[in-house]
Amino acid sequence: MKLYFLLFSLALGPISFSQNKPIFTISGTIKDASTGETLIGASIIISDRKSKSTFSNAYGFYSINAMEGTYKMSISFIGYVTDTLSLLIDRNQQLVIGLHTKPAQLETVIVSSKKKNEHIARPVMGVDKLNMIEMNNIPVIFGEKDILKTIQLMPGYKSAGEGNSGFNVRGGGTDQNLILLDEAPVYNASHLLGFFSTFNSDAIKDVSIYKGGMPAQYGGRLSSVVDIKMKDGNQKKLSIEGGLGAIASRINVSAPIVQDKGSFIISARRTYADAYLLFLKDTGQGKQTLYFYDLNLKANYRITKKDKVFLSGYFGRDELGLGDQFSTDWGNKTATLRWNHVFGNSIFSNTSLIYSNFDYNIGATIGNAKFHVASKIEDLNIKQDFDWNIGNKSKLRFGGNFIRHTIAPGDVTETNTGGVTRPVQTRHSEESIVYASHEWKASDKIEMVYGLRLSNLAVKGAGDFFTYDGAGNIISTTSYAKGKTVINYLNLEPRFSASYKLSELTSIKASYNRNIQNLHLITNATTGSPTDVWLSSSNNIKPEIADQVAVGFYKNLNEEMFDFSSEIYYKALQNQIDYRNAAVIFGNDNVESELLYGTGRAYGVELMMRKKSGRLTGWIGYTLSKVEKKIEGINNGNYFNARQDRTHDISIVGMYDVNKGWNVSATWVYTTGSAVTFPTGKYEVNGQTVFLYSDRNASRFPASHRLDLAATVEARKNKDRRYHSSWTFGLYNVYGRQNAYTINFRENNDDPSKTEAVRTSLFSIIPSVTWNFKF
Amino acid sequence: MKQLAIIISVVSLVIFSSCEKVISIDLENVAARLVIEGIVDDSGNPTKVTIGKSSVFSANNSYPKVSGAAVKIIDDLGNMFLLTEAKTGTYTNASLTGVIGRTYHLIVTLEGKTYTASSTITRKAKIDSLVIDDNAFGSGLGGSDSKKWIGVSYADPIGFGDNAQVVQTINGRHDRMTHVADDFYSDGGSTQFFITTGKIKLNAGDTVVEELRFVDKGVYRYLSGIQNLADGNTIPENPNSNISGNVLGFFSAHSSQKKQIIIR
Repeated sequence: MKLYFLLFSLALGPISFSQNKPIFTISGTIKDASTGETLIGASIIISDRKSKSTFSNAYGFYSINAMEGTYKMSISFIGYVTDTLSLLIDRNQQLVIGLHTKPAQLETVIVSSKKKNEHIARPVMGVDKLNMIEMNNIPVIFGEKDILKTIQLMPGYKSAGEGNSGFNVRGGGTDQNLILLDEAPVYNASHLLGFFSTFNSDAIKDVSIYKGGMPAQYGGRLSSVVDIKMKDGNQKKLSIEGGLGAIASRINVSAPIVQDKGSFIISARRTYADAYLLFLKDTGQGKQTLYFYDLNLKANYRITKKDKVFLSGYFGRDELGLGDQFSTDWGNKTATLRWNHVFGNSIFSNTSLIYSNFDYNIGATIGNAKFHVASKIEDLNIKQDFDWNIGNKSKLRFGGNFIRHTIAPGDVTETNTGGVTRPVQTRHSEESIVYASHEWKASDKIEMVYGLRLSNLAVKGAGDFFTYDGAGNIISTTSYAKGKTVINYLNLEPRFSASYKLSELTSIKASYNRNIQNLHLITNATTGSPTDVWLSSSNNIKPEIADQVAVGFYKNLNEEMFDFSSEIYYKALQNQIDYRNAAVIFGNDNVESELLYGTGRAYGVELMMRKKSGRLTGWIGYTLSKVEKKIEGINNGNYFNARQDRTHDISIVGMYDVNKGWNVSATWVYTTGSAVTFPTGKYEVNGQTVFLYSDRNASRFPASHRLDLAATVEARKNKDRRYHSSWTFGLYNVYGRQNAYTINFRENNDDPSKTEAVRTSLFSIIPSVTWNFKF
Repeated sequence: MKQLAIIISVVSLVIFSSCEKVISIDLENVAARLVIEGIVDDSGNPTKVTIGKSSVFSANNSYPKVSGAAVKIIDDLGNMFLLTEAKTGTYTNASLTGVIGRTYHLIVTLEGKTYTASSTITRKAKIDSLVIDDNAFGSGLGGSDSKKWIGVSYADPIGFGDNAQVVQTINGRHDRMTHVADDFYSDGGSTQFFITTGKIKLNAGDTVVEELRFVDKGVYRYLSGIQNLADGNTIPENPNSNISGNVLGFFSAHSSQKKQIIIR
């Protein structure tokens, strides 16, 4: 059969090419037929003798060219029935296509993580797509499904700490991940001091994560981009879903504004952690509060066939209080207003106005002093992107944006003792960016994406800017008026990624990327906290630079039931930031005097074997890696392990479809302990025992590992009932492994002449149950 | 107020902290290092310099003393004071009393090597009052077992950059902790510095003596490093000594005042 086609096209191919028929464009949107939700990354293939293919973009839009003639067009997407139609192409056409979800019993069997051979052919490497269906079945702590924790189960992404939604990508810091929610950066993507992410998965349609070959439209962070897109809302009818969980409840309402023209979605979540956490033990200090809530809102409306507008927003807040002695609240606000327009048939334009804000307040009474701390980081961003389908072999993406950052880092005021407080200056900076990225099918075997990103950061007044000597003392102060430029940093970021198909089932890829980061998270604590300080590059802080090269090998096995991928990377880092001993970071106008600078390097191998179909699906991932820093003034200027350097990292994820709506899953993770600094001796000073330290991060926590289980059962379907429901049961840390959260060294309580090491672990076995409903 | 900066990290640990266990860990041991600690104050306490060495983690907390050093202190008027070895590793001079505003230079010569440091007595220390607070911030939050904190009140001098240390003795015994505070976030007010008694439970009749010291910036930074190490929230590092020659320890010239309170 194959051979027959080959001969056929060989014989007729040259003739048809010489015919010079006119070329037309088919464009439109791919949607879910029952909800009208646009589908991102659906594959569109048109074929007669030869096939051409494309994918729908972030707004479900596609555009494909063909010569006049009759074609077979097939549209497919994970979890949906592939639609095939016969198409006469004799003019430019707009075609909106609705796909039907697979029937439930089929769906669970043939859940596959991506289009079957997508990872072979596509040139971009180091990209992972989270499957939202799969994610629902993966066990998580407290039963709260969480995209940022699911990410951590894949090679290359490491948890910043047990139960923590912070993560390190290929050795990068937790601040080196650009987390975008409908294009708006989310500065503090966690709730409850890191144990939950800010993303309510009910409101999320699509998650793509780039750890390597980031296309040129993304930038601003060194290590990764997590591009999260919210659902648009049901275009057809009112739909309500939600869940009652052990620690949080959530509800999600969506409905058409005008049927098939516009819709909205509102998604809300609140925790009641304070109801039964240990925090509640009475300390005699009055009422204690501890909770968070968040709200996702989105509305869209199609004005004309070629124009569509979207408004999306996120609002989340954490509240933590301890009687009248201490209270703090913090959270993110984002808003995105977008306008999609299609020029002709093949140029897709998106214009966005983006607002992002993270702020916190602290009130504290210490003795007779009453403190108030207020801090915020705020971005205003205007952005224009064009997607131009030049031909079926060539796609150009270009655009630019302008961002204004305002950072007010932790201004402390004190009101009761008659003292004066020291203000911390608000800083302004402006980023201007242009980029172009070309995706090109050079041949049947070779595809590539290459691009350039040019970014300029202008540090702006008003304000006093300081220069410091080697010891951190101020040498000079220069005052700049409002709007005056203090310094410009112009940077060019080349991006290149290519794939070479060795066969239909095997490919190799290579990439080189430069990334720049102009916003830096300053923290000297060993665990992250909302009060960590963001700083812009300045006259003292240079933009951080990462150059990454990577090569990969990919293979599909056993009739595409398995896919195997392996990537090797090396990253060189410049202008990395660290801190002086006993640095004052919080509320310090001269925080830059506390910083030390240096370089870093990270390298590793990532292997992953994934089973994509059958009743048992899942994957095994393994990472072997190293990350080191070299900072003037630390560790005698020698390379030392970064805290997140963990040599081995294994994750095993299995999901099994039992029967009649029962679904069980298990994950097991193993990782080498964090690189930490343990004492190498002790001495006495100021009447107490003090521990002696030598090389930075030369010791290790014990390896940590854990098994988690989950089971989901769909309540039996009843035709008369309009709703259906499911129960999810979880068991976190099944064998009760006491993984180290901290290890502290201290004098023995009973015998101060002895010293001991004390391990604190956070979580033992934690069961959870969640009830989900939908109607 | 240092407390302000550490609040969040304390709270975060307490919320989820569930299990503590003493474990055994094999630690690397490095060669013993020299430790020098020197004190000059304005209250008539004898000027004292101790010289010792570090030991390995697994050893008992008794540390080797270093004998035979030549120790002298010169003030900024050029007066020189020699310290004599009163007992092994402890060098004293009873005639040197610190003067407010004066800078003192320590010179230690040992086995052909010289170690130097300078420190200035900035201002007069004066305690306004001592109070006992059963409910100060942080009680029950892992900071203190006894829930009793002692508030040391003093007027913070006008101008940023004043640094205070409190040395606490309970029934005549040092509490084996370091307590330092600065005026980084609020200058010039009446300051209440709350001192934890840590693992020591206070009972009726106990006598607590609080010694307030105003120390200079270099000493504050060093002691602040020691205090951070005990808190365990930052990456552990040896604090930067104000003594030259890559030794451990510090040299402090400071003002001092003591006040006593009896627990009822």
